[in-house]
Amino acid sequence: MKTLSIAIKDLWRAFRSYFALAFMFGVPILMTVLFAFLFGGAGGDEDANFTLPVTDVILVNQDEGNPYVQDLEYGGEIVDSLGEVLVTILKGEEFADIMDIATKDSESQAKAEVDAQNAGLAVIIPPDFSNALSAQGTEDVNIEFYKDPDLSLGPQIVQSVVMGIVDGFSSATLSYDSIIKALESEGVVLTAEERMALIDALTQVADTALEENTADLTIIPPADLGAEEDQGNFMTTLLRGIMGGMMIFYAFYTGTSAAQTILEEEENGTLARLFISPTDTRTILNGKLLAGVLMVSVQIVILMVFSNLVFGIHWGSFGLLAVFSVGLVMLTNSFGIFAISLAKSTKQAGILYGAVLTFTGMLGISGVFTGGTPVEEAFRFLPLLVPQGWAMRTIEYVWSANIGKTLLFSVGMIAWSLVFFLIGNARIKRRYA
Amino acid sequence: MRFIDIALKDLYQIFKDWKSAIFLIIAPILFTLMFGFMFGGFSGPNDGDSRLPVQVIDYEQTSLTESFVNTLAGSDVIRIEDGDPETELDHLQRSVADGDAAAVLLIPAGFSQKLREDGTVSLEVVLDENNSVGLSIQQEIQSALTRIKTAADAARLAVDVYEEREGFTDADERTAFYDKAFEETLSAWENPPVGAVERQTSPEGGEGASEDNAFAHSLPGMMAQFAIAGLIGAAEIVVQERKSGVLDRLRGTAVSKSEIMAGHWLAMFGMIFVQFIVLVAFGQIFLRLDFFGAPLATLALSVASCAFVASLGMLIGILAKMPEQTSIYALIPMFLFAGLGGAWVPMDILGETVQKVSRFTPVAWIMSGFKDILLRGAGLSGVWIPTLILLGFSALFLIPAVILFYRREN
Repeated sequence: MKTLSIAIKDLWRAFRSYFALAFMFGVPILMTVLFAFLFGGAGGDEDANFTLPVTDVILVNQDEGNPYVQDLEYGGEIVDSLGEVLVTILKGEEFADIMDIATKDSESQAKAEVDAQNAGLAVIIPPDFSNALSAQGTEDVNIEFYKDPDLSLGPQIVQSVVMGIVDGFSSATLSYDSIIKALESEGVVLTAEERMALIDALTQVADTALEENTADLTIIPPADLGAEEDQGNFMTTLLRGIMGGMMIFYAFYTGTSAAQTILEEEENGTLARLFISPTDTRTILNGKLLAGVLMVSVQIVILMVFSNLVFGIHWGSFGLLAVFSVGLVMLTNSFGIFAISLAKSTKQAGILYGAVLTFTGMLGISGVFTGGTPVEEAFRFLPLLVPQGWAMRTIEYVWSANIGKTLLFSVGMIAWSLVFFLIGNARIKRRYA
Repeated sequence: MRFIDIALKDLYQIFKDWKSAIFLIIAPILFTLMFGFMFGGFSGPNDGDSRLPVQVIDYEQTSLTESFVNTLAGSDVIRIEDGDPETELDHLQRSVADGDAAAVLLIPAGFSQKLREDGTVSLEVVLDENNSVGLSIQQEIQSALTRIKTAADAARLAVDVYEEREGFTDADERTAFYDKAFEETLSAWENPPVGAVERQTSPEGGEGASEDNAFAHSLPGMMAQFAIAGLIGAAEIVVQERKSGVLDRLRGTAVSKSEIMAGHWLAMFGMIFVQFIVLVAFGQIFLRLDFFGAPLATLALSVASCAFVASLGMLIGILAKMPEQTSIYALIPMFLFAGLGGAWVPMDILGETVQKVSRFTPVAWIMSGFKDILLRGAGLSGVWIPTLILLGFSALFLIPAVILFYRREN
């Protein structure tokens, strides 16, 4: 009963503290909303999809054309070079979502605009562009992509699109040369008429390819069997990742904060009073531990229920979630005991709050910050150097309904917990023996 | 000069505990390395293989599918890993969901036959379309598909021409010639008629080869973030001074209110400035970031940044009623300003609204100013706008702090 009394007293104190409540509930929810705003835009539209950034692009067409591509009709207009065709295609509605096109006459003007950050990318179409694509050029011809180093994704996407179109232009030339080579290797030399017929056939194939989608790529979404409702719902999936990360991040604060009451009681002198009462050390520590367990449990349940009701987040199967939650409760509280066993005063414990928990927490949930962006392979494993990383990995497996890995990583969490508890408990007992 | 004594006392209190150094210096360095490493900061052009891992499951395994896989293997974006054809689709989906593979490409049985017969190609890929990794992979596979489709079309035409001119003796000869023409076209894509060359604005004021330094983003971001985080301890001193009655005693001496304010502000400024100096030197020496290429610009921007953070610290110290509150009062603006200001991820991948809102956060201006110095070689004239705006933010936080302090003390 004494254990319970101590736990209830600590719980009562914690839930009356605006500071504790803010850390347990306010900040994780605020952070989730903030991240949702950052990555999903302002609206928080449930059906929102990932949108590519629109890049301001300046095109400089230096293509001088050549006699083979003069007076071509493209898009209802007469064009004199393939460079003009490229510019016309890029200015089309189809690409308006990813690039905002302007044109300049000179390369230096375009680059100056990029240097001044008025544009993100300058695309310089070289003078020999048509020649190269009509097999008239001999030297290497390159389109120059001059980018603002501050931008990461946008210019890369635009470059990819431009080179995709240029590949389409190149295909006829490449195919023609390759066919001629293959035939000649078998001793077949085409006459001028046959060559013209071949060019006609290649043009026809290219036109057909443009009209009919003959290169079909079907996208299958990755499994998320534990939360099928979230399939394809970008915003809910995004929010779930953020809320999961924030919940883990701040549960460690709660666990440490609960254990910190030992130091507070010591500094206030109430711990000494407890020691002279007929209450043994184990009962006191058990009471503190029980308070922490209840606080983190309440925090997890409230954050999950709140985010389910407000954000529509589906957390996965109840059984796996229960396994994860038990692991997280054990891990956070044992970490709290371990951390506090290392601190001699609440001031030192404050450093633990600020530095150690922030660093290990951010490393552990780093996937939340980098989700969907290319990161180094090692960053798949580095978060596992800290306990928060194990918790994050476990809940990710809960979301993908991977029973085996959920259990495996939950065991990992429990192993961390045991190590923290054994060390922390031994140190605290020694201190108050 | 009594405010200097107060400042020195505060600095002594802050730095006498070695653990403060962890927070002020070691943590931002660790985070800089962490974020820089995440985004390839240690990878040179020839270091390691940081391409996105894509598992390919070839259910057919013929020379044509092998050629297709080889085309993909030459990509700068994706790295091919062999997958097991026995694996069930739901396991493959799960492996992408779990992050074990960035994508899984499925080459179906009958791929070559369809390609030979009518030139159509149809593939399935497991990937997440809702992020940039998925989109990059999709683009790359689509590009390889276009090339293989071109090769198939060319091979079919070559076969038609040869058949018309010479004729094939049997189906095997026809197939062999098709494969030859196919390989010829596919290998021709290794040297396309028009290539791409990347360049970017460089600090030398001219153009340079496109070489990203991920630390040019992560270091300014972490300098800004941990300058604010460092306020937890510094602002706590102001609260402790009030709570413990030291402030009342000070007020009973000849020290004026303005001297007390100035002393605390100067201490916070000094603490953050020391942090900035160490981090700038670290970036210059170990991370190839050329802060010293524009020493005056670096100094002006650092001073303005530290002034803003010190003013924010003063406001936190005066607003917080209990020492523990300084943590939350510092962490909230830290997360808010760092997140919205682009300290964690490049602004261009965030939404347009966020990009507009970020202009109202001081961290965005710290980032912008330092990136101008590091990436564009801006001098003093190039960073005067962020410097002035940061000084404006400093006033914005300092004025309410002063008003509250005077009102409370009166």
